[in-house]
Amino acid sequence: MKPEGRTQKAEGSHLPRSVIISVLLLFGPCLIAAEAVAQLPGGIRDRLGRVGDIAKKGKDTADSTQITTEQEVAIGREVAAKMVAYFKVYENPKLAAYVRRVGETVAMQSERQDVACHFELLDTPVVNAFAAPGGFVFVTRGLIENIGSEAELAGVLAHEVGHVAARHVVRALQRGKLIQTGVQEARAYMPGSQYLDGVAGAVLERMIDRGLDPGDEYDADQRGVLYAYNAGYRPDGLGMFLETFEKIRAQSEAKASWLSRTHPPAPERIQRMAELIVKRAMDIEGRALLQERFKAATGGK
Amino acid sequence: MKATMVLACLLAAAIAGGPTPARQTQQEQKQEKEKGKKKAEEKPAEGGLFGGVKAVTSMKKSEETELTASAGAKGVGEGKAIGKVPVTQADRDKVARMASAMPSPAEMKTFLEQGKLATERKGGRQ
Repeated sequence: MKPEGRTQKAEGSHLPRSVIISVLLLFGPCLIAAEAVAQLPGGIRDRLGRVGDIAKKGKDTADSTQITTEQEVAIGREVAAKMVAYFKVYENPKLAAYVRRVGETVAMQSERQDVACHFELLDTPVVNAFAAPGGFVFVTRGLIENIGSEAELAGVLAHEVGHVAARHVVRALQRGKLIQTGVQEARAYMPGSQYLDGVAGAVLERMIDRGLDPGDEYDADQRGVLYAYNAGYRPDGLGMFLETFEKIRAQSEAKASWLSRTHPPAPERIQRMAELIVKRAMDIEGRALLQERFKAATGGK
Repeated sequence: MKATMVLACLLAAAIAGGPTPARQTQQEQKQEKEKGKKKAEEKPAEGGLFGGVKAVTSMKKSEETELTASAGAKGVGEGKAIGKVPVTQADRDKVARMASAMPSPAEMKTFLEQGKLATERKGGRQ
């Protein structure tokens, strides 16, 4: 009977103690800190507030620098390999060389120069372009078939270069905790490693099934307009393509579904880019459109 | 400061009291959670390793089939399928070719001049 009674007594006394501990651990430090800060002179209180802001800014910066450029390129290479394995490269050396020249022309205007952008054609009738991390940019055969000028192609490629410049995919992966930011071993980033395979899978699932945040797409649009314009093209090339895209969407939902699913509505994008062009007083007339050169490179498609 | 002293005393007294059954229960729950996690990891993924490959094969039969397949599910899940596709050495070689196929400076100079395009960098968002 005695041990039983002791047990009951012990159980009865443990509950209040655990509650006390929880309350103290949760609110105790806050009360102590609040009281201590309240007794500080006003000037020091203000400085502490600023220190908090700096710490927050430091955290934001750290979030964006956890993946090195080398690691980003390794991830991009793995994503690119999967894209090539799935869609297959559209083997047209003349067209591929042309797309690379247009891509390089707008990439020259990007503020990010620590990664080179690489461009390749994918053999699918679906209309879209895709930027993997680390500068691996893909354009589909379907997109080329529905473009009317070099300025339009430059606008599309500049949008993709904008994603690379702003590291939108890497940031999305970090925000979604899809990258183990603590993994620093070189072998984890070797081509074909289990880790890279998993990260590449996560990138593709995010990019192709859900897309980036609409804010990132609008940001890439704005960057793209500026890169294309600074390169010498008409600034409304991407807008012109999006107008064509709306017609494609009306005719074939299948061809347009990937782009529609992963991007904000085209009319809204066109509107925002037009506002930027007006705001920056960008010229349209007299800028390079290069329809004939595009036709010559694509065989008149 | 009186409130601070009282809180500190209470905290010290509570800590001195040794392990509590509540803490033990939390540990047990954690162990059970880990066991559950392990079991879930052991379970094979839906569709298996080659689930994605099957989808690719059927979609590549013809362009029409490819588009219809995409339209059927509005393409949702295609990214997951692409992520599961096994990569061959030939695929990696194509990516290596992609990475090395940069236009030469001379080629770019001609291209830019012919198109009356900018030959200098203007520094992004200026």
